[in-house]
Amino acid sequence: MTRKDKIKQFRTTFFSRGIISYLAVAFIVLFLIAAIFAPILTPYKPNDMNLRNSLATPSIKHLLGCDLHGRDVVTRLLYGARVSLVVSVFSCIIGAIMGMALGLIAGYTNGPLSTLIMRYVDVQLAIPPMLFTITIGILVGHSILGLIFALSFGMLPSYIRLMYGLVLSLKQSDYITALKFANVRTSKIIVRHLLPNAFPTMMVTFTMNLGGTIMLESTLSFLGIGIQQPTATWGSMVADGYQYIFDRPMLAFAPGLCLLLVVLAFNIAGDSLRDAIDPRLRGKL
Amino acid sequence: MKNDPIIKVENLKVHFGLTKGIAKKRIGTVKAVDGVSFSVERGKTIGIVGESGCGKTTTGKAILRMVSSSGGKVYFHNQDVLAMKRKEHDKIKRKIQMIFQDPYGSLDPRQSAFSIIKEVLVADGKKRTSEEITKEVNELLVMVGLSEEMGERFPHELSGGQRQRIGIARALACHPEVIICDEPVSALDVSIQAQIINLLEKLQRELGLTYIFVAHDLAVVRHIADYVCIMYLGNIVEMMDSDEMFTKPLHPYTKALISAIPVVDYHLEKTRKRIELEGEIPSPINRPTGCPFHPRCPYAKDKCAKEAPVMDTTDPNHPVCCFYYKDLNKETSN
Amino acid sequence: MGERLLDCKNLKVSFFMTGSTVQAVRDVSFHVDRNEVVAVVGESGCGKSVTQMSIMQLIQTPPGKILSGDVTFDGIELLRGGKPIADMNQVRGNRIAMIFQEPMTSLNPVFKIGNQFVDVLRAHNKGMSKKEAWALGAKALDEVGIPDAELRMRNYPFELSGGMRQRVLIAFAVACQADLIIADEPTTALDVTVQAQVMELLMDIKKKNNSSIVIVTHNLGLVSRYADRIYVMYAGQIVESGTSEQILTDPKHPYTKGLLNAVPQIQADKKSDLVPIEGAPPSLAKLDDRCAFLPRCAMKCDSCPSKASPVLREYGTDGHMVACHLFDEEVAK
Repeated sequence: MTRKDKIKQFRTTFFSRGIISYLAVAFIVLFLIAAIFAPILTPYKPNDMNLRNSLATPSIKHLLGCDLHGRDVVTRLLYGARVSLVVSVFSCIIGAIMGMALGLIAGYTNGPLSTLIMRYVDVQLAIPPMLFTITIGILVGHSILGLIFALSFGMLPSYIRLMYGLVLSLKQSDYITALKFANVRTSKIIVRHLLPNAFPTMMVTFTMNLGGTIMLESTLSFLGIGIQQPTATWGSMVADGYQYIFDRPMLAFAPGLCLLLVVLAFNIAGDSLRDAIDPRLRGKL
Repeated sequence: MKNDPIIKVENLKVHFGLTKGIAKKRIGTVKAVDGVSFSVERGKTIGIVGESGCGKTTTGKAILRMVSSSGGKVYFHNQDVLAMKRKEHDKIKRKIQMIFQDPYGSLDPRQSAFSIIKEVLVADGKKRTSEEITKEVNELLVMVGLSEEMGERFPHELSGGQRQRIGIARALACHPEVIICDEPVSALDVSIQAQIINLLEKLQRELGLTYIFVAHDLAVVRHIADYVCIMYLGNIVEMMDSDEMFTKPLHPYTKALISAIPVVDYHLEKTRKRIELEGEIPSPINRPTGCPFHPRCPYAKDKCAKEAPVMDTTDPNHPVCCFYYKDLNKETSN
Repeated sequence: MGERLLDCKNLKVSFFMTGSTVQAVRDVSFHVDRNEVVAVVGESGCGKSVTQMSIMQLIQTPPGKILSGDVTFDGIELLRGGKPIADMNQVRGNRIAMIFQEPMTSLNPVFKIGNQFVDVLRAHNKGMSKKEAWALGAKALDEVGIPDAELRMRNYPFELSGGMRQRVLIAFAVACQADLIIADEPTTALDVTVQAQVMELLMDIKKKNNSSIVIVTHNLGLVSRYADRIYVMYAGQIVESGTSEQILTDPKHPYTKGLLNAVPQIQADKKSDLVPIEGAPPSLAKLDDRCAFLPRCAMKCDSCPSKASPVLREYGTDGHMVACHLFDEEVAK
């Protein structure tokens, strides 16, 4: 099979769910564009208050209307996407890297250090993740950095466990054994063989996790624990808007719908990625 | 065995502790290998044969220190491999290599054949230019019967036989003296098996390699090995020249094993005698007392359940681990 | 020749994958007589298992599809022109039983052996009570040589060893009094001493129930010991067929000859070099209309590459069939 064929096969399996997988990818692209180009896409600033526009109904100037403080909802949605993207991507990257590192250590050494790491994982898993993240969030304070730290810490156990399992099975594989017999350096075995072979699986979890993290970040903001006002986040927008749910339903529904679609899109993309990467699942759907 | 053996295994034991719970309370011991001794001369092949769970693969792994042994000695050029410090062991490691059973699992799916061999080749730390490396890898590819272009392929682009050849080339890249072949052909199709066996024999002739050939297929072992150990539940029950395996088996287990294997020769198959064994191999966790084979042995007597027999070396070239093999073979020859 | 039990004519099965079509079975005809042990021999990927699965109509569709074929079992038409005729549920598991290589996957891991017996038996015998089915199951287990059958009925599959599980599957066939047992690599996962036990058991059952057995295997020794007739398959076609004696002592097709030379023999005076078949089996997705064995054939003539794929024809008069151009002239006579 040539490289071209491989890409073709990857594409066919990735999009094997039909229209829904195309929609998911389209929506993720839309989300990224919104987040990155927010200042260009809208003439307003997210935090500019204009009390004359308080609770304005949708119009040509303000497509989805304005909130209590007269801030444009579309603008705040675009900037909210920014926050969601930054927070989820960074916390997932930090969580994944730390999780992979710890999982690698635990799986590869299999000594007292490994026991320590894995028992810690057990302990953290016994605490509901939401509670855990809230506690850490409160401890480190209300800021984007604090939130990222809390979220990445919260997802650590799942990455450690996954990596641990992968390393344990890869370590036993004959090709790793053969390298050890040949005196190939351990660092080389890890960098050139363990990590690349663990990477696809980690990538799938990473994608799936992005959606969940956006959800968790919004939940925290909704509860007022996450990022503080007046920064626009979808969660806090829902929290602000739901008081006017009968008069101005768009205030709560618009961010809620965005949230739903983005999380769904990431989950579908993650599933498709798994089908395309994991040959055992290929064609079984 | 006249010459100095290159590998000499003495009373090798591999016991695994069975533990339970967080406190790792010991609840039993699995004697996977329990006192195995044999030796091989340079350039020869010793076959280790037995059914699953007999400890043949574990024996191979213990020699390579892939599993830690609980006792015994493994001499390589009169140095005890098991007693070596890690640094010392690293020095001789590359001299003993392994060929694996599963040609699919033994190659990194993300590496080309060329880089699989190259990585192992350069791990000896010698300085080489990249032309020298390319030349050496290509020589290895040709040596195992592949073309140089094959080096660019990835494992999933190769057939089972070709993958096994890459596995052999990788072992050769270490310039080994001894190769442990762990069921190297049992995952391959019949028509491919012969290609690999012939290749192994050719390499042995050309490079003076010593093989420890672990397999369950008696016919294959007889073909390739000079000397054979039959294992049952962690013990060697009989050792002999491979030519004698089918003509002069002495231990009742060997006899049963040989008769259980159907032979391809149609007329021979219709006429030869069969011994059927009752029951299955016991788990090494509950090893029977006395002779481990006695519950299945058609000739077992009271003594067999009480005492474990020791190797009878009346014929030093054909030791047998059975109390009654002499009587037995008198009966059958009459 | 005995009574014809299973007759399969011109079976063609393909798998339609993205971008390629795998021709797994290419026009295969074979038959099984009552009271006969027939072996289908070939290397992995030669279509031997797919042939049997197609007869049982167990091919996953899509991607698989039976393109053509007429199959008759004991007077019942199962397939005509590739289309199912009879209700397979009346035949499958009941009159034709199947035994697979890995017995663990053929038993449901979460149910007791006994309950699985009850389900199978009651599915095929309307009106049988649970108690009757259980008793019948215990009797069948006893018949296949499982000690403490009543106790074993209460075990879960994972509590039994590989050999025991294979016996349980045979016991299903016994309890249903199957006329035909299709055993797909029944002993490949077992140790040799256990393999001998399981095979002897199958032969006993066959004798007792007057049934027939199809063994699908790559193990030529097994075939030599147990089979009456052999079909040799290569790349989705039968290349040679005949009695075991004909095939094993006087093989005609270069592939059969090659196979027999490639396996190490255990006879005392033979330690000659093995003669492997060079190359590897062709991909079933890339076949042309020439002889599929051509690239590996050691005996090919100059004219072979220009000829169409040879058809299976009788060589001599005693039922020995071979598909090879080497015998074109002899067959013409």
